[in-house]
Amino acid sequence: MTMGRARSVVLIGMEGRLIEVEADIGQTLPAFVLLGLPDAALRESQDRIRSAAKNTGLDLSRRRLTVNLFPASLPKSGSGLDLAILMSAWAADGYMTGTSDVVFLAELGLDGRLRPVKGILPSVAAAAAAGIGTVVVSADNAAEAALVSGVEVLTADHVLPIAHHFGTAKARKVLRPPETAPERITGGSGSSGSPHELHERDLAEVRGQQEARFALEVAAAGGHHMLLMGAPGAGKTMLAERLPSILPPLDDEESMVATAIASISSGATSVTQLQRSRPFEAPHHSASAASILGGGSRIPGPGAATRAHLGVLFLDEAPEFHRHVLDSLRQPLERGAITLHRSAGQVTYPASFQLVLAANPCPCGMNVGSGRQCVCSVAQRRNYLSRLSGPLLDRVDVQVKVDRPRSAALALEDRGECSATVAQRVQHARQRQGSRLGPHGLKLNSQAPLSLLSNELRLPRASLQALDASLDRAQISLRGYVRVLRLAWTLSDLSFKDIPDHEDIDIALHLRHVGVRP
Amino acid sequence: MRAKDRTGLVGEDKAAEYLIANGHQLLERRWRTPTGELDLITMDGHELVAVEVKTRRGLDYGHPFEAISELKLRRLQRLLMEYAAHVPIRPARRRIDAIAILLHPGDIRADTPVAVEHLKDLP
Repeated sequence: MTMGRARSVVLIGMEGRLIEVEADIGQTLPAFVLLGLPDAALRESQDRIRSAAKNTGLDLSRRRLTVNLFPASLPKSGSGLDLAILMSAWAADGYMTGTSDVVFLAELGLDGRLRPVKGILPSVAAAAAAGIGTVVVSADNAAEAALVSGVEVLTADHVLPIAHHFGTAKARKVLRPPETAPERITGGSGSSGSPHELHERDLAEVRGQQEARFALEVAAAGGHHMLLMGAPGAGKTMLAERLPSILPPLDDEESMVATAIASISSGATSVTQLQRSRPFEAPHHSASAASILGGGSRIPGPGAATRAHLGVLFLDEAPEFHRHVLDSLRQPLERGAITLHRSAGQVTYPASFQLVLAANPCPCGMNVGSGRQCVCSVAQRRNYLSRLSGPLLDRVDVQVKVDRPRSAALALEDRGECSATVAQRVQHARQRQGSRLGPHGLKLNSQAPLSLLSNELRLPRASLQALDASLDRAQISLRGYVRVLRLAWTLSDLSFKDIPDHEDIDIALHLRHVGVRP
Repeated sequence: MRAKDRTGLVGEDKAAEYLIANGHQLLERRWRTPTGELDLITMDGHELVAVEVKTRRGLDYGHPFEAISELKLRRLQRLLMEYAAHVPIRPARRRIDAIAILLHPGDIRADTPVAVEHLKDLP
């Protein structure tokens, strides 16, 4: 037989596509032809494959080897197809058998060792979804591949044991016997990650800051975006970094997605178990739009917003970010996903994150309290905060000032509540939201639209008096009105009330009234 | 005579023997023009064949066929066209073949080929 087949998976964004690798040996001069829109890394694979084959002791055919990657119209990239191409080439020579329904995902070293590749989890998941029963990966990727249930994972650190496993009698005669057989792992047996991982950063370390702590809890409970404004050293960053510790852990489905994102964006070997804690991304303010949203040539890769999916995207010194970078976040804030278009194709990455902005009140940072120490001009102050555009701030429900702790508060205060205690209240509040909003297809108060808040979830007139008055006096906009209502619902959930009363409305007004814009 | 030339000549002899044994009629050996040389020219039935012979002792420098480049093929085609114009033969078609002769590595006097490979009708 002069035809050989094997399978592999390429990733277009987060989506794995099953690839059929066909190898054909033609009776003409030696050549290696790779068809099916390979990129540069893939084109280089032919030299890796030749060397790996020779050094394993099973030379490739000295004829014209044509390798076709089906579907041919799909642009393919990366080195993960190396092993599949080699196995199909050997199969074409009659050395291998039974490779046509097996997915191979590994890069080859020149000596034939198997190297790990990125994105194993979504690739194996795609293979399993397509009904593939056996997946071959490098030993370094084994733990990650085993996270997917329903597949058998075959793994080795060298191609030799794999070649023996699939080899025909013809191949076994030539090959030296391997020291070990390939290891078999049943998918789904991998470590599922502890739902209660210890957070290094605990809310107990934050002294004082009662108001900011409360705002943080409210933001966590309702999934509200948040702006922390305060003087340098007041503890904005410290608070924001502790937000993931009070958020509920990811459920099974969510952790699969979060781990898949980590898998495609990390260096190859770092994923060994499902990620249960919420991701936290804190890009520096010099970040470009491509690094936040995702970018790159051909098929663009994920950015910080996608890595923060289901977690927290923290922009410290938010006014220092380029304005177009901040504004480009508006679309993912609205949709919970980012669609990137390039000439090679388009990809959609999930990007449903909780945004936390931190800002100084002015360039020098001292415009707090009476503002007597501030050296900024009025124009400077105004310019500084106006970099946070209205449409962006409109989506930030909680806007609080973080004051510098007073010495009395620092000294007299015991350690604050620890994260676990707060997390319990947050969890409970989220359950209440889930049961109320579930019938409307929502999970969190921050997602509730005006139509819902003004019909099914309409509050009694008595509770709304103060809010209506603010609206009438033009102290808040209609958008602001909606945000106050959402916050009020979260506050009532936190205090076990069935419906927000006028007290909740008052607190909600306060939580957003002290911000940049009323 | 240098060792590489001797190897080449031995290879051509073996290739000629192989072709005759396979029904070719040998017309020319080492047919030269100012612009090149054809190793063997034969008739295979009604087809005029230029045969490029590559001989190696061992595979350390790659397979013999790997030494035949695209440029070399074009030159062989041009030379065969020139040859056909000079002789009063009217072949049904012309074609280029290649033969790889693998001699025993190491022993310079060993003339029995380890392997003979024949590729017909190169593009």
